[in-house]
Amino acid sequence: MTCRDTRNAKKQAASRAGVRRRPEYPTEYVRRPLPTGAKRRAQRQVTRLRPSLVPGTVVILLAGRFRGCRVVFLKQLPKSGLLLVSGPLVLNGVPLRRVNQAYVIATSTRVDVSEVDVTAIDDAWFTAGAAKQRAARRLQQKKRQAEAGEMDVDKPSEGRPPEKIALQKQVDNALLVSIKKETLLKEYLQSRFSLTKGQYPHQMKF
Amino acid sequence: MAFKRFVEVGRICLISYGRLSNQLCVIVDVMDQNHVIIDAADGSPVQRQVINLKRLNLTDLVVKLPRGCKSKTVHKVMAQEDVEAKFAATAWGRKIARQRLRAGLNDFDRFKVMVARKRRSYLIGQELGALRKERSGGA
Amino acid sequence: MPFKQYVIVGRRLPDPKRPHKAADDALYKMIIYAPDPIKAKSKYYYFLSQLLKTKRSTAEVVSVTEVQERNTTRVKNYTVWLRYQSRTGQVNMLKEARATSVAAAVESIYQDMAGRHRARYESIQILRVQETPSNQCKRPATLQMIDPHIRFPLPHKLQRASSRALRTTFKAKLPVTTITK
Repeated sequence: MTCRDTRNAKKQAASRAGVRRRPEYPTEYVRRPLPTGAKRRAQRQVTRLRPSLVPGTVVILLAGRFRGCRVVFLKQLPKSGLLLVSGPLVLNGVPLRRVNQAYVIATSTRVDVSEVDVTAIDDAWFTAGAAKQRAARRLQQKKRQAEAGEMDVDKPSEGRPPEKIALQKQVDNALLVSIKKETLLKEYLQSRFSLTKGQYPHQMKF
Repeated sequence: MAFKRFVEVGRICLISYGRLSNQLCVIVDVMDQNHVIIDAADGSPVQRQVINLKRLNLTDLVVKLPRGCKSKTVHKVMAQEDVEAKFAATAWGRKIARQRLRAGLNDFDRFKVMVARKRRSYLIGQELGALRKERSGGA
Repeated sequence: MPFKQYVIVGRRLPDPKRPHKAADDALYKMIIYAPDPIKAKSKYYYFLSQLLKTKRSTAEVVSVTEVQERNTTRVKNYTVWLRYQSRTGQVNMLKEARATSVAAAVESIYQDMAGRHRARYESIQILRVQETPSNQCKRPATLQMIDPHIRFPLPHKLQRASSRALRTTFKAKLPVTTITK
């Protein structure tokens, strides 16, 4: 059945029912907010990545406090479409992190990540407990203000929860096994990227 | 001082401008003082064409070609004489090959080159220091 | 802009006031060398007005076809007969050019006429162009290029940047233009 056939069938059905279809237009302009942010992202399902970004790609971070760092791309997070990367932490101090693909340069160097298990990590993994941590931090601050004048005897902030540290270690160890197989790859990941005289990023191969 | 490179049929040249720059070609015919017809080996991106001599650099190599010969003959002679290999063996050829290689390196390769360069200057420094010490000790 | 070779066919428009004659049906075909069809048509109307008592409003162009030349990578010798209006009078000339196509030969002739005689496009009429075998060429400039063992050095060579993006207005060093090899 072609498209036109279906349309005709529908029309006939409508006329049989004694209903004449008429175009309907609202008499007044109704403001409907456009879907924004999270909603639109949800509609679009998965962000499309550049073809050069496949799990295991060494990428150069371009913004933020880790700019210039060469890190390993592990997987794409399904909900937000962000890239999950790891330094690894022991090599260059970059923890498991989420990055937008617009803020990285993908290189042609690949690391074998088949042994790295990151199934446990999703967007919620990053946000879980964040609100609680923030609240705790705020409380501590207030306490400190209340005890102003006295010596700060409060415990230092707790830092990352132990289970996150454990997972980071597990991921890094698996990564390091494959990194060590290639000579100088470890040193490469430890070093930072920068441009020197006569280098133009648009003319360079990465 | 006598000239060594001439515009002549069979002269191997390098294109110096545009998309085809640094491509080898050979002069097949001379049109006038400023223009020649060039052709290249089989598989080269250079097609038979008229080119201004301003856009050509003459090399030391010459092959024997009949004037205005067919592309087929040019391909045969270029393959027979192994012009590519002969040019690649010259200092000029090596320089171009090196430039191409360097331009094609990826980020990791550039890092490896940097490490190798550091290592080399370290070793040279070591040798130099040892020689200096030897000299001052001897004097 | 490179010159092209056009074949233009046109005719005089029938005039209702005049009795129709058989000669009025004649079509006039000309080979015109010009950078584009518009200039070619202009030249056509000029030549037609020399032949018939016509102008643009009393004539029409029936077709303009660009001639695609074959074998444009072989160097040929062309002899060009032309006539031009100098400051003092009409001059007829025979010139020779080496080129890979008729259109390119005519273009170089126009350049040559402008350079040597200050004659512009409007004052030159190309009468005839013919490919000439090497042994029938006359002009010394052509003959020296016909020499089968031609060989000459490039004593003055200016190295140019390999692409437009790499061109600079100022150079740190004076360029070396003499070729020592």
